[in-house]
Amino acid sequence: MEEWGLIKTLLVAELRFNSWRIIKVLLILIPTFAIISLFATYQWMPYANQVIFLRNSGHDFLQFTEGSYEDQTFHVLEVPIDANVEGDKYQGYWRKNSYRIELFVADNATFDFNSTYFSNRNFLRGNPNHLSDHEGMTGIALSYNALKRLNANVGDSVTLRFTNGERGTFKLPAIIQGVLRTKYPEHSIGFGGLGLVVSNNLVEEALLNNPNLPFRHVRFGQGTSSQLENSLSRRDQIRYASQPSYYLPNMGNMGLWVMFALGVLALFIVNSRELQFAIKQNWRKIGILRALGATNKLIVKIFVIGQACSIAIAALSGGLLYRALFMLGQYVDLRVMMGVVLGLFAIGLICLLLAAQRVRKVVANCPIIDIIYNKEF
Amino acid sequence: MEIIRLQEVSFSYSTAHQRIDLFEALNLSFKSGEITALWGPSGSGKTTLLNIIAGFLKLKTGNVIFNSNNISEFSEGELCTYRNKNIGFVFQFFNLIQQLTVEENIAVPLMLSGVKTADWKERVGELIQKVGLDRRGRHYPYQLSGGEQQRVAIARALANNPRIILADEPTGNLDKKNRSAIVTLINEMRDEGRAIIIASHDEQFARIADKVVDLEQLSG
Repeated sequence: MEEWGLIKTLLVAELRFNSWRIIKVLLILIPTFAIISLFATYQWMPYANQVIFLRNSGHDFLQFTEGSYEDQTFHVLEVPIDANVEGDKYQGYWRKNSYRIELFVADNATFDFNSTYFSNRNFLRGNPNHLSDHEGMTGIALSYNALKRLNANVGDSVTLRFTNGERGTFKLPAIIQGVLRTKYPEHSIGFGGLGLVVSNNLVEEALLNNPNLPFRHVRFGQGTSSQLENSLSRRDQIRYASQPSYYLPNMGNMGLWVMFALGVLALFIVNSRELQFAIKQNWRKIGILRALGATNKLIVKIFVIGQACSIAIAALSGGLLYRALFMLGQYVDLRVMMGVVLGLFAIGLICLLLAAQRVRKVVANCPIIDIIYNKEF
Repeated sequence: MEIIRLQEVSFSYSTAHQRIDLFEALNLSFKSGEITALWGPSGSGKTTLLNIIAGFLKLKTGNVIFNSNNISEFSEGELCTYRNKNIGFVFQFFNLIQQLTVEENIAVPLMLSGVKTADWKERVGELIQKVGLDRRGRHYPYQLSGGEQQRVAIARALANNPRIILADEPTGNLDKKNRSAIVTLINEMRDEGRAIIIASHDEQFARIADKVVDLEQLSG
């Protein structure tokens, strides 16, 4: 196309001359894109990968609400420091004012998250910052950072210091308990309490490295090391049954979609404001080009291409930052990230096309009109 | 040879408080190789007349005839081509694109008309030489003095070899020395056979003009 020479010259000039402005724009857009992406994908991310969700959403426990767990066998690795275990019935493990942390272990290799619980949205995001009481039991869900610290020492006793408005600051031993996920039916993965998901490897590692670690009824799935099987087969097992599940109301689809819509709306606002600002900044340049014979179509093209470049860079960087924000980026499905990048770009493009309508309205003679209305009259 | 003619042109505009009639049934013609100075105090419509000739302002009554074509009937595309190919602008405040170098600024009209980079480089080189900015090609407008910027604007106005030059107070922002340099360049443009229409208070232009149009009297 004939006008590419001019478009290229103007783009290069913009980059050369206004690089700081472009950086500023990107500094605004990239984190906004990334953060909003987190919110926007909050509702469907769990379906893509439960582990990512729990590790990175800031919500640390997962509550299955589908069906009953009664009579299901749980596969628990436990350090029963202050738990009350009574017979085979799983009940009342927590004494009042004592706390336990459960580490549920999900095995990605053997559990299809996409077509089971998560596709039906039967999960709940809990409030990780508060103690919760349920049926006489008290549990706590930890922050991600706390979880990370714990992960390094699965099976250890740890001391936690936390504040609760009503109870003040406590210093107490924690119990770490895990469910070793193996190739079992989906309903056996759940546990009616508060839990955190960690990888199988960590639990296996803990079992291997702590020969005295008590555990319960571990079954081994495919891929479990024979070393671990041999080790555990020589140890005593404590067996107990699952507790009945209880239903905790989840946010419901509507709430999730509202959150998604708010995220998208915020993106629109940020994008639109930035583009309006870009038009304002380029008002004079556009007017000069008009005066020199640029067509409306060309002016819009110059504006759209220039801004689309910024939006594309911001969308890509925002997507990468989004991935980085999920810290354990290797768990983020690449397709999910590509979806985020394309979604961000699409939203930016829609805003851009709306803003471009305003570019069309820049009067051709604005450099001269300036003189007429600001100077002469 | 007559190149542009205004026929029965009337123009008015409204401010918040009143309606101002600038021209009524104005008839004017401009010839190639002639300098026409539009004379008159601020508000007499000098710049507005340039805008009308450039096709920036739509006329409700009257016609602007360029080469037997009524520009009021031009489509947007035709107007753009008309401006790009036939009109060169020189503004009081230069109106250079600050992000572009001198060379690039001069080349903008050429790029707009689809001239390839290799081809415009040569033309731009000639123009830079013509306006005496040989060593300034790669400078940016902010690195130039006012007089130099105006010379760049003149080079840009000449890029497509237009037949009409519209100049709005081209020396309004310049010192005496630079004013003379610009007047000389404008004289040269006349000698090249272009129609020069200048809105200015500068008496130098009144002296060199072939025709002086006193708008105050016309609208009077």
